[in-house]
Amino acid sequence: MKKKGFVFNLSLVMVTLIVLISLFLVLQGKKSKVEPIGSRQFELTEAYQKGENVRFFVEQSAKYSLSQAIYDLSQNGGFSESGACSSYAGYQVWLSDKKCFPNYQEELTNRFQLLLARYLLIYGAELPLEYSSSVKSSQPLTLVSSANSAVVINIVSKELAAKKYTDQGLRDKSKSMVAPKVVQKNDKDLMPKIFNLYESSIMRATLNYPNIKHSLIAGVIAQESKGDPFAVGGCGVGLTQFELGTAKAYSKIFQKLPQSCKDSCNPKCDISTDDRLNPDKSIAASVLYYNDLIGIFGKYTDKVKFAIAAYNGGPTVIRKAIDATKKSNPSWEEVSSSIRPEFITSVSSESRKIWKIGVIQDYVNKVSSYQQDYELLEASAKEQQYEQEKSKFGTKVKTHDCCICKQTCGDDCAVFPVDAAVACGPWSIGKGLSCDMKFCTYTPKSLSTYEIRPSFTLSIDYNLDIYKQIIETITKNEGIIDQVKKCQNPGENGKKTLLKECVDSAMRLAQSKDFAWKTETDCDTPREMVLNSFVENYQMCAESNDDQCVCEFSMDIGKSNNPDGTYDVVIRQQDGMTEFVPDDALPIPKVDLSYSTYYFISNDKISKPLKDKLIRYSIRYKKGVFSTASIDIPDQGISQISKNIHIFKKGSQMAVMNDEYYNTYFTSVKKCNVSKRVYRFCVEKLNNGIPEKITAVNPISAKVGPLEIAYRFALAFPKP
Amino acid sequence: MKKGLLGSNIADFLAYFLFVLVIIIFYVIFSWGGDKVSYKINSEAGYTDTGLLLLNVLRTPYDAKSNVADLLVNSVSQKNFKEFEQMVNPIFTDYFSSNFDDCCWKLTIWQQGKKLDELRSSVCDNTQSEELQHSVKLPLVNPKEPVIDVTLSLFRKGTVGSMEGGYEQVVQCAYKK
Repeated sequence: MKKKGFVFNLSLVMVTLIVLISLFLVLQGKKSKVEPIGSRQFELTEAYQKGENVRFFVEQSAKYSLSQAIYDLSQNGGFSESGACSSYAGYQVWLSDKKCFPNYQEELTNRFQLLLARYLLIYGAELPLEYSSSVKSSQPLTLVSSANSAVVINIVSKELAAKKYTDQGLRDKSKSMVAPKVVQKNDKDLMPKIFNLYESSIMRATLNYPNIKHSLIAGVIAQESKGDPFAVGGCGVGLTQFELGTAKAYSKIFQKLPQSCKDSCNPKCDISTDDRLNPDKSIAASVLYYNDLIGIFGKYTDKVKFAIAAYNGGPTVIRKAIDATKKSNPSWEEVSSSIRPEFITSVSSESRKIWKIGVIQDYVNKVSSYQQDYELLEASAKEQQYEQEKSKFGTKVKTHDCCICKQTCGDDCAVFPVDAAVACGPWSIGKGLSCDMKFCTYTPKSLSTYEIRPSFTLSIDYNLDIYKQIIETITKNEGIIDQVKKCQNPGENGKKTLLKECVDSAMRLAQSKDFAWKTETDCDTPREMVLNSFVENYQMCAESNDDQCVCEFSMDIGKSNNPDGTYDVVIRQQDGMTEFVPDDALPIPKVDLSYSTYYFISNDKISKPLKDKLIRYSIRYKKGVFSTASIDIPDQGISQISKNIHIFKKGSQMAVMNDEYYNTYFTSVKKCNVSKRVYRFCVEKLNNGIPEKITAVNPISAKVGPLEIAYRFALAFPKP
Repeated sequence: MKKGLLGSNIADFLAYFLFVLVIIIFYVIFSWGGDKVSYKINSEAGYTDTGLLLLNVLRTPYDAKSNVADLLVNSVSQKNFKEFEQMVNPIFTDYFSSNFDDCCWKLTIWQQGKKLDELRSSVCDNTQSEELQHSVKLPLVNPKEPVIDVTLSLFRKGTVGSMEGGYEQVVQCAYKK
């Protein structure tokens, strides 16, 4: 071989070797990937399945909502909320000068939609809350309904199992965590409940706000609503009890708020689709609000306590109290003792201002106490989580530490997707893992979307036209109205009968094999008997034609089956609206009275109108018989025990007093002439003598199951 | 005639041919550039069917007024799952035994991460393998109560995976042939 040939040959061999080595290295460097055949098809089917899950939840919710709507409607005189002619002792008035019968079909769909929205809120994903519904047939009751918008389900690529990094993935993961058992200072079930239900929401809401501790938000939830997302307080609504004014400042989060209401303290505000009932939004807004408050008090060491106090009392009050200490960095204790009544502008009376100061101080203590409980739970949960990680991955936990996700969700995260995300969360902070972490918020690649608009037809074995039959019984010839009119107007024999006797006799005539008619206390539960009897007497006095007179009534209203002893009835007077509430805040409807309530200060001097004040009547009975009533005005330290309740009526003023006060100063004052003209009715539909039942929740007893449907309403007759 | 560099024109031609071939191979290898892909078939057999089966079972009419889901809701409120188990057990047993070989199933009812009840196929053993799960949320009559999660889990009974024709076949619940 020539020399040139040898060189050429050698070069060829060298080039070939280089190519083979490169080939080897390239092949070695390539990743091994297992791809399941048909994975795209599975992704499509999975999206379909998610859609079916949504449909199923909506269908079940709709079924329960319809049953509940039927029950609620009957309990509320066929109205979903307030009736057209006001209410009387918790009963909607059907007949006064106007005929105020319910449009029961429309009312049913309104109630149904409200209840359905409540169910859909708890699903945990964005489901359409607004539905258009109509009654297709009254017997059997058939309702057709469809969502006003669609649910969009992303068809997500499973590559790298990236979906597990999504918000929903985190939510699911933290939902599967169970709060550990830790000794709690407060209600032992409350904080674990909040942990289980809301930790994932809190976690997401606080992601970008490292200065807001989870425990702070949990403490606020515990104090404000005890974890009930549907809680409605005096003015606040939802989990964190945002008042309407404050909520409007966070309108980016609360997009749906009652528009027609000036303030949410008005009980007639329609909050059915209020965003404050959405737990995620309530939590997100409270995080933002706390972030703002902590920003306001940022230069003080006790800034968090100041923020807590400001959440309850308003930032201006706390700012003024800080200034009053004349210190550059006062402690909460110093600021707390510097809050003065003149700083409080939300209430007018001095006594009320003093009371509010106590509320703010107490609020800070309670939230801080709940916060401590929650921190104990969190610490224990982190330990538990770390141990689980360690047992699952062994040393992997250490190498695959939480800092990976600080930058991107790289390959390592994809190897252990869920656990990497969790390892990057606050759970792993502890036992050697002390990174200041942020979650990977990788958004999965969406291949396409699958949209469904839930719609359904619901049919239930119930006759909605029963309202028509009841109304007919009242209004037909020789019906209840005619009967009452007849005996009120003297006929041939010239005898005028008492209204009560007329009503009783008309009711007896209305009885049939299909309907059982009852009046008054037969309709009420013992608890309602106490409240209604009180309210009724109060209203009769208010409506008396006499003036400058005293109404007297005893709470001895007969025997009760209730074994537990005493009830408290609270009167709250706000803006001309007198609200009667049982002490345990049962959902007794509010009563409209345009009289202002007063109490006596001394002799014949009466107080200013009781705006924003409470009068607490404790009505007691023992051994089944109602006995005494006590009148308490908490912020005045007044407590008066009495067998009877006396009300002095002067113009549009009503002043309450006890026996002792009456006997000392008022025995010479004339008695008001009171006459009853509103009667409460309840009607039960009978099937072979047995009252019709429907599966629902009784809002008073919270009992779930087949409950008797009783149609409750009041009829107001002209004065005889 | 002039001799080639390697002694003959044929040797030259072969050398050039070999060189070009190497370049082409080199080009092809680099231009492919993909990862090593192996395929597994139907690793989620039964997966999608099972999710829908769970929904179908919950939707099955129980009596004229209610379905199995209502029965479950009732069971949760009464904390008595006997009737629900009696209703559901035969449906799953029949479905899985007639459609799959070597398949174990487990139905678990959860509320807020707390297990309320568990039903499982008689041959199931917890330790046998990883599981696939389908979860369905179910509202309670009282909307204030936390929802129930019903989870259907599938287990591989022993190992039924095999290598066929270069494809790794991993089957969770093998369909009956």
